[in-house]
Amino acid sequence: MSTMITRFRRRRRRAISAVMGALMFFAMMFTVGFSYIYTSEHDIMSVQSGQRSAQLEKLELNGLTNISGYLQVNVNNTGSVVSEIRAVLVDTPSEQSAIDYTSSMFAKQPNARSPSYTKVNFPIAVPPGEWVSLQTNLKYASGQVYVVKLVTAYGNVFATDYPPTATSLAAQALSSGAIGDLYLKFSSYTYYTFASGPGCPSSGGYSGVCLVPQGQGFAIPASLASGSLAFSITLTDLNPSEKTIVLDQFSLIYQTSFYGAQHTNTIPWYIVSNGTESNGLIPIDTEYTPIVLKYDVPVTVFFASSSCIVAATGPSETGCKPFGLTLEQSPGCSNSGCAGSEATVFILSNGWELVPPVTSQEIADLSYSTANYGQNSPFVSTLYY
Amino acid sequence: MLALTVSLGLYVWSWAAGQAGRSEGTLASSSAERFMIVDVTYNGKPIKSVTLWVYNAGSSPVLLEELTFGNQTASYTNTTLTDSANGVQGCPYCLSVASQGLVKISFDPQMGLGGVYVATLVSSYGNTASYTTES
Repeated sequence: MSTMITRFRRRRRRAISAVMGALMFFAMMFTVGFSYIYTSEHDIMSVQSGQRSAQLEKLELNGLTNISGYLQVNVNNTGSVVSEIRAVLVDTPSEQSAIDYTSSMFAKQPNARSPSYTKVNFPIAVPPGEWVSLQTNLKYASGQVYVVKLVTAYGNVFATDYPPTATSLAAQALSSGAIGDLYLKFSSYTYYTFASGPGCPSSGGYSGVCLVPQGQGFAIPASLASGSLAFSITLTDLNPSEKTIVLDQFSLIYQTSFYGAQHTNTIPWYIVSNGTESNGLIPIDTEYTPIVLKYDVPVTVFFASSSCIVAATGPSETGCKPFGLTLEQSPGCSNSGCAGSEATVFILSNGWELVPPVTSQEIADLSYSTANYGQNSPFVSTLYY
Repeated sequence: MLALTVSLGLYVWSWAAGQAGRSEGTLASSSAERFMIVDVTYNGKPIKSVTLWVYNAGSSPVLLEELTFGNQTASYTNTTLTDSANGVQGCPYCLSVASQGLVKISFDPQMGLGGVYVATLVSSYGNTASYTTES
């Protein structure tokens, strides 16, 4: 009996060791196999994630030169991921290969502490919806074509030509190139009479003179032309390089009137700056604060003065005066002389095209010698009836 | 006997795990490798020199083993991208490009001008990057 029990115990021990061995073998194979598959899967997912992000990256580049003629590029992140600019290469016609400008770039960013161009260390991070302006120390040689390439951390390469190629210029001409950098909204042409007194502020920088909207300026009763009038139009900056336009106080609208076979007169209305409309009155500032036209942002600009207005900031000529009642401009004809007159209307816009964002300090530091923008735009016609 | 079996089992397991780890590491390195030719310029008629820029967008250094440049009628191959053996194990003449690094490679293909040229780089893992340009 005892012998049988001993045999049974031995058999049971053998069976357990076989099971244990099988379990251990399975555990070994499982841990090796599982860790291999898990890690591989993790790596593949990581690579795929990077590739997806790379596909979402989109930068729009605009090549241009600054006032001093140095080549620069404005970079706008229109994608949905943060872009890290790692390197900047410029293909120059005079060199045998592209030049790496990564170590000699200057940049201006909207969120930078300093609003001016500063030497930058790469990489430069550009969040979605934001931009950066990069300036090289390469001076543009007239007649040459440069290719600027940006390399990002995702390995994408974005490039732009300077000057722009004929194709991109043709596209821009549809919107702006054919008529200049300013888009003039014809239907916005409005004329005004003047008012003063109650409701028209005369302190806090206001002149005590306000504009009263009358209607579209295509046809004006001659009875009003014996008095002073003002005009407004809506301007949109469509500069192909998306620069900001700052108008100086010599910008004006002028009318040349004809009556029958006679050229009767030519009258300018100088630009003014204004406050917010209240109770139908638009207050005019005593001094002129330069009008800033940002790219693709419509701005209504007022013309009311017979003389240029002294500037509140930025350059100013001694001949310019603070706005007052004596500076209101009139069509310059009597009631009887105006009726039946037809006037051509032109806009002279003058000032500076600057790389955004334009700070108040930059405007204060402007001078006429650095003005780089001027445009004469035929606009509409006005009938005095 | 039991100790011998367990020791042998652990050795086999550690060997298998090591091999799997190395295999996975190779696969991961190969699939994570991401480099590209970002610019190619050449000079002279016929071509006297070609310069290309390579960028490594991957997270590890990449070893460039071979460069080919050519069109339909002529081809140039370079398998010694460094002037002398740089000591990289298993790839002594490979050109190493650091992670997020930009490297310039210049060479003289000694070929005529004309047509579409394709530059191709091959890494030590066999991955390729190409750039097509027209003269």
